[in-house]
Amino acid sequence: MSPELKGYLLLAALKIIVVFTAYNLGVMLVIWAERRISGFIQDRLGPNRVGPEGLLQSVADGLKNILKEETIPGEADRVLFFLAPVLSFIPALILYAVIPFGAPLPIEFDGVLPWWTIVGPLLGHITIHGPVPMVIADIPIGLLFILAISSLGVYGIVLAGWSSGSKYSLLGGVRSSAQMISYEIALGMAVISVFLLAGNVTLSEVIAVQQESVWFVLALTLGFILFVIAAFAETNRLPFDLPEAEAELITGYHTEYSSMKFSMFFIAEYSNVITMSALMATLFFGGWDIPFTTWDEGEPSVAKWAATVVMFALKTGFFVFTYIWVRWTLPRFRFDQLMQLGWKVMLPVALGYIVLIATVVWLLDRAGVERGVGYGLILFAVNLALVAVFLWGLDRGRLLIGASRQRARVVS
Amino acid sequence: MGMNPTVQALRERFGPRIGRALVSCGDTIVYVDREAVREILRWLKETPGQQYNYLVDITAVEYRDPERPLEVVYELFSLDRKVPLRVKVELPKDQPLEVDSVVPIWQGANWLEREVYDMFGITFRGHPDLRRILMWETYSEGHPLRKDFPLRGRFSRSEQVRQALGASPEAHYSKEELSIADLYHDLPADMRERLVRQGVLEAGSRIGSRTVELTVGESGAALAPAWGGAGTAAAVAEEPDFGGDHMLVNIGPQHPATHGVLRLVVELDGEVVVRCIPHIGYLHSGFEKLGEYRHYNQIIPLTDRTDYLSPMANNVGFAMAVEKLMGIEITERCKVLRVIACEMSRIISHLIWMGTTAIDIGAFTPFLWTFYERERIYNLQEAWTGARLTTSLTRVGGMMADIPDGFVEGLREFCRTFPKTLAEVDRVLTRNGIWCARTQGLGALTAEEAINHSLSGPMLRASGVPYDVRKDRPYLDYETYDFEIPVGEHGDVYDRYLVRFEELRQSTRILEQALDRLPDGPINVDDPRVILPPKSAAMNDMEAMIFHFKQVMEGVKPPVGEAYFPIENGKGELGNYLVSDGTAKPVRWRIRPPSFINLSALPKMAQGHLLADLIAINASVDIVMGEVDR
Repeated sequence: MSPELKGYLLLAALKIIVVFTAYNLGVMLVIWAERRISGFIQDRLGPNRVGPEGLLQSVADGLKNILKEETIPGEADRVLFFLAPVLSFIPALILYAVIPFGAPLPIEFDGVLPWWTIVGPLLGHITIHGPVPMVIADIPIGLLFILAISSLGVYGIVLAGWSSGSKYSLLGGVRSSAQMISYEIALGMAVISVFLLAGNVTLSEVIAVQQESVWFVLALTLGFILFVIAAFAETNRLPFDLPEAEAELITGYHTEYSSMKFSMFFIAEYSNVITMSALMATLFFGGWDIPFTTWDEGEPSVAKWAATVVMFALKTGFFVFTYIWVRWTLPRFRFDQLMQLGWKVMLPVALGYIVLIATVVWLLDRAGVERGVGYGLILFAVNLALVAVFLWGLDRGRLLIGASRQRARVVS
Repeated sequence: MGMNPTVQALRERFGPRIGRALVSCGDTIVYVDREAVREILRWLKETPGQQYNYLVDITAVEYRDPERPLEVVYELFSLDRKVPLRVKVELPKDQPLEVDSVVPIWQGANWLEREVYDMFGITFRGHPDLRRILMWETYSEGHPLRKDFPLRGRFSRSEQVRQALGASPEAHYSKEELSIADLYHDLPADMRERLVRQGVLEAGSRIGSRTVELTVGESGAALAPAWGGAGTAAAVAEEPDFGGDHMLVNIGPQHPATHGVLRLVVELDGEVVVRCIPHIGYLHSGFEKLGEYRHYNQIIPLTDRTDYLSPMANNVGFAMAVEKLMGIEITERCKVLRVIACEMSRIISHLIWMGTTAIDIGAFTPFLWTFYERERIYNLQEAWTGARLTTSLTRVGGMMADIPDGFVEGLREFCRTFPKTLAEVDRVLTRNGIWCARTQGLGALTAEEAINHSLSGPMLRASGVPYDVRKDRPYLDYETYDFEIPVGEHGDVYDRYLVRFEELRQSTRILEQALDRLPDGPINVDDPRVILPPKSAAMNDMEAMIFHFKQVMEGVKPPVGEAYFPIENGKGELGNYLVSDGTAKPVRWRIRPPSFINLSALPKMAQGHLLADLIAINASVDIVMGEVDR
């Protein structure tokens, strides 16, 4: 093995370990944040006993769940019942592999690693020639990979619902498959507009284009709105948490799950939340790009690396917070309303949007407008008009405002 | 109060079929012939000038004298003329206990008659679905409210357990779950065939006016029962649970959205509710039976436990009924304190309703906001009564205790800050698109349907009927308070929400007015028949000691008579019907349970809606199982 290959493999292994550790810690943090923020919203404290400010609550819960007795219903299909939580957990983890989370890190190394790295003497001579991209796998089909893998997540839920042998679970599973399939289309469609503008499906390229021009949230505002709605539905979060609707289905597909298997679904949900938040940040908010400066785009340095990683974490955190905020504010849709929104509103709007954006891009290119900030701002103006039309179209007393009467009549 | 002129009109119209009539505690009672009761009640409902269009209650009375016939009691009320009338039918014990059902006139009679059948063994001819309701289907000990039924039941606990274990689950479930009698002819052909093959329905048997004209298909093998689970393994293999067009889902009795131990058997076509059968009785405690063995003041703790979400209002309602029976006029201070108790209870009840309904529709946060406010009321209640749940606040002729120091200030503070929280909930829900989409047009009942189902309280008012006991049959000087009755237009879940929301505001208004006018003075009437003399007097004064002794040993003794006293609690019209034979224990204590009657309309409201809607509709009824099952 050449020193270069060894260096590459070592770095890859390191990145995987570091990213997944950070990711799982992030899941823990998000669960804690959800409970504390919901507590804040609801005039109560939330968990604050385990560790400082209750930060270790998730650790305690995890421990409890591992030690708890596991029940498997007599009617359950044992193999699938066991596989289902794994199947929903793993895609959420894999997804993160293609999302860039910071500016490249300049590392130059040529020689033998010192003895205290333990693996150092085993590897022998290695060469690392930076800058190292801050993504586990910067594969050329990045976004397509995400769409493909995130579709796998639904199998976990459907199988969980079906293999439990319970009617509630089954209904949850059926709802979930219908919901995820319909919103996946809208999600994909919203992403196509990003392709149109970026001209590439590699996520690092998408970020690069946004650095040169404007963030796509401006250039593709409506696409962003569609993406956010679809992403909420994809992750089964309120107001789209029908598969688990605790009121009627008693948490739906995972009704019959207990102990760590239940926890896996739980972790998968929050992993998905983080991944989708990271995707929103990447696709529409410039990824790790720091706004209002071009400093971070120059020669790689450790300071730039650190600043951009923090920037990315902040953007992701913002969307995670939005997820939590929405969950504790809104009621739940009904199943038919959800499907109606998916098929009758989201899909046609997304399709029309692709055509429109493609036309505008073609016209602008024909007119010879430079791809840059001006280009983005023209698109922003177009989008503003579209958003206005979209919200107006949604409205008409059907969805956003349905309250023609807001107070009961009184008789004395 | 004199005799209701309707009696004269009845005599003119029906002649000898109208028996004696009397006035007891201001209520007119008229006895009618058992064979003509349906005709007479229909006449009373439909004749202009009478218009007794609202069936308040149906119950029965058995007297301690074994010679006296059983009585079926129909409590009527004219919503247009605001006049009550009690019609009674006597059923001598040596003849079959049968009377015509009035379900064809009032849908609301359905569950009421079932309860009378269950508790007294009186058969209602022509009732569409006469099954036991509070006791279980296979209950074999008899009819609990009959006087020959011992308080502890006929069988020992071990015998009950033995029977329960020995009973076949099929025998317990099959008939009730699959009595598709009223729906049979609307079912798809294959399903009808399956029902016949399963032996649930027999070919050639009659359902209503029509005949089951189906023949058994080719493969006449026994198939799995459609509700799943109870069949043999072989039968399940032959037709899997999910193989049919429809799916039977059992919701409850342990389910987060049934608000207690309510069990709904739901037949689903996809997620559309084809049929919904409520099963109640899991919390049946026999309060009415227990009451017959207790002094009047000893019954008050039982009332805590009926509608346990507004115990103070129940206490007030019962005490007022006894006072009506005895003709006691309570003190001014007591009246105002009781108004405060009632309105506090209404606020608690509505807050719980609002929070839990929001949860059922997926909004978790308003639940905690409303519970925070409820906690503040509970603190006040606790300071007053010493209890959060089992308040036992009233006594016949007065109150258990006067309000403590600081109570008035605390309640004023609550009235001042409570609207803020209300405004927050209002902002989160009332104009929320999803909330509107989830609640508007759901489970809508027209005014006629609501009256026909004997609904009361916010359920009735949401349908546009401005009937509120506080306004229409005023008690506790409610007519002197300045408040308004909210009514809905569409009778759907959203209107019920709006009505209850407005009632919270109005209750706050009433509380403020009550605090303003709270007079000084005694809380108990000065009447040694009902009120214990103060301890110091009992220790020093011979006469007071005698009264004390008699009170404690013998209890309150109302004269012979009967009284029905309705109050408006959070759920609707809570009535207490008391029959006294002059002893210290009532012959019959009947609670007119508002949420029991409101719940009986659930199957009608839920039909054709989605499963998620069923949960929302069920939530909108605002049931308390303690009161439904009693």
